[in-house]
Amino acid sequence: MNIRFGLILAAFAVFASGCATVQQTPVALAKNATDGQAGRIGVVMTALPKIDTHLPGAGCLLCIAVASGMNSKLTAHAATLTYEDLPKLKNEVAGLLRKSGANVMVIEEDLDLKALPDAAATGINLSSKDFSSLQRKHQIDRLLVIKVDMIGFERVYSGYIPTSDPKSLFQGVGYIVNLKTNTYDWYHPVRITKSADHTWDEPPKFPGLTNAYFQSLEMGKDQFLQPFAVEAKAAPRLALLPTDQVPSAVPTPKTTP
Amino acid sequence: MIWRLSARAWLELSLVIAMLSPALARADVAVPPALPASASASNDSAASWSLRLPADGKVSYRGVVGFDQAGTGGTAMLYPAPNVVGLLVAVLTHGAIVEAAKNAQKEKMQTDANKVLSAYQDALNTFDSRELMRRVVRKANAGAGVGGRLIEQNDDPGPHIVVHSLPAFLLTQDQTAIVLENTIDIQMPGTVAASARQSTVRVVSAARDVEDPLAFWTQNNGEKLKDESAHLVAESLVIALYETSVNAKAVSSPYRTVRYREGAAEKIERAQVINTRCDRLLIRTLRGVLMSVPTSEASTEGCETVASDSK
Repeated sequence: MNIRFGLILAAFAVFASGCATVQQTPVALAKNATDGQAGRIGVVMTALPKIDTHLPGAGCLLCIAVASGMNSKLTAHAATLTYEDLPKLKNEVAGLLRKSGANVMVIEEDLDLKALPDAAATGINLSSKDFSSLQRKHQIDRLLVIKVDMIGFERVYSGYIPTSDPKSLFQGVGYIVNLKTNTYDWYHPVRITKSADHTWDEPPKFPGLTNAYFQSLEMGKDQFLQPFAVEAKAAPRLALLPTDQVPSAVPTPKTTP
Repeated sequence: MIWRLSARAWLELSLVIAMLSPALARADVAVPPALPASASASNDSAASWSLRLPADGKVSYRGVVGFDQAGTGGTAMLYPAPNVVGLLVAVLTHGAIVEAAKNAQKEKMQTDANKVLSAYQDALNTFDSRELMRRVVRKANAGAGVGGRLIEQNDDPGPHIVVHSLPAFLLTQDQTAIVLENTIDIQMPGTVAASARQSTVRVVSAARDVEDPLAFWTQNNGEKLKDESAHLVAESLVIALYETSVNAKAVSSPYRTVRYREGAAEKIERAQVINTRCDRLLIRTLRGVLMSVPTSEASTEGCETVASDSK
C-alpha cells in the first residue's frame, strides 16, 4: 500500500513539475539602456513567421483536421497577404535609438535563436540564450531583439467548435539583453488581436479580416516603437503615418514628421 | 454656432450637381465623359436634386462598440460518444450552445455600449428622421446653393436626381465625436428606383474638444447633436453624389494603411486615399465603403466658416 501511494505521489510530482515552467514577465526599459552611455547596441530581428491561420483549442487530431478544413479559404487568403514594411522594423527602432543618442548598428542577417547555445545561468530576468558569439562578431554591448512569433489570423476552438470569430493576430516579443551580464534591460511581450468590423466571412478576399490584419500589423509595430519614441523625445511618427507613399496625383495628407 | 466646412467640398457639390443637372446639360455645358448617360437626357428643371423624405421614425443612434474581446474561450471538451451518431449529436449540441453564447455576448457588448446614450434620450426622443432630412437639405442649400428639395415618399421627382438616405449614427464612448453610416441610393432622372446606385458612406466627425461633451451636445434640447448629425449626412450626400458623377471607383491609387481620429481614439483603416481637403481624408475601404475621416493633425487650409442652423 505504501509503495503504491509513493508511486502515485511520485507520478503526480513529475506531472506537476512538468507544468511549472517559468514565464518571463515584462521588464520596463531600464534607465540608460539606450542612451549614449549604453555602449554599442545591436538591433536584430528573427526571421518572420509565415502569415497563417492559427487554431488554438482544436486539441485532437480529428479536431485539427475539421478546424483546418473549415478555415481553409481563410488560410489560403492569409498566404496572399504581405508583411508590408515589417521587415524594416529594426531600422525604424534603430532610428529612434539614434535619436536618443545611442550608438547603434543594425544586424542585417536574421537571428536564428535555435542555433545559439543556451546560457550557462538561468533565472528571472536572465536570457535563456548565450549571445556572446554575436557580441564578439559585432563588437556590441547590448542586443535588441525583435521576435515576431505569429502573424495572420487566430480562431479559438473548443474541440470541434469555434468559440470565437476569426481575428487578426500579431504576437511577438522585444527585448534588450545586456551582454555583459546576460540580463534583460527590457522585455516586452506583444499580442494584438483585432476583430473584423461587421461580418468576417467574406471569401475569397475577406476584406473585413484583411483590414483587421493590417490594423494589428500597425499596432504591433507601434508596440515595438513606442518605448523608444518616448526615449527619443521625438514625435513618434505614429499619429498618421501611411505605410506606402501616396501617388503624386493625390495630395499627401499631413503627417507628423 | 459657426460651422467649419470645406469650401472645396461645397464647390464640388455645386459642380457635381451642375454636371448632373439636365437643365445645365441642355445649356451646352460640357458633360464629362464619366457622366452617366441618363444625366444628359435633357429635361427642364428648377431644382437639381430631390431628397426623398423617410417615413416617420426616430433617428437611429447607437454607441460605438468593438468586438476585439469577443469570444468564449477555448476550453477542452470531452464529448460523450457511445457511437458515431452520439458523437455527432454531442458536437452539434455543443455548437448550438457555443453559437448562442457568442451571439448573447455580442448583444450584451452592444447593449453595454449603448448605455453611453442613456443621458441623450430626451434629446433623441424629439429627433425624428424627417426633421433630420429637413436640416440636411437646409445645410446643403446654404452651403452649395444648388436647389435641393425634399419630396414625399410617393411624390413624382420629375426630371431630378432622387436621393434616398438611410442614416445610422454612433456616438463614441468618450462622447466627443459622432460617426455616421449612411446607405444612400441615387436614382438618375428617367430611371426606375430599382436601378438606383447604392453606396455606403461613413463620416466621422471631428472630435469636440470640450470639458463636458454631454452638456455640449444636449444643450438647447440637443441642438448641437442634431445639427452635427445633419452636417454629417449632408457631407455624406456630397461624397455619394461626387462618386456618382466622376466614377470615383476608377481611382487607382494603391491601398495603404491610413490612420485617423475617431473621438480621442486613433483608428486604422486599409484604404485608398481618394482625396484630401481641410483636415479630412476621403478614403475607400477594402469593402468599397467611402469614408470621410478627420486626420490626426488639424489643418485649416482651404476651409471657410459657414453659419450653421444651430442657435
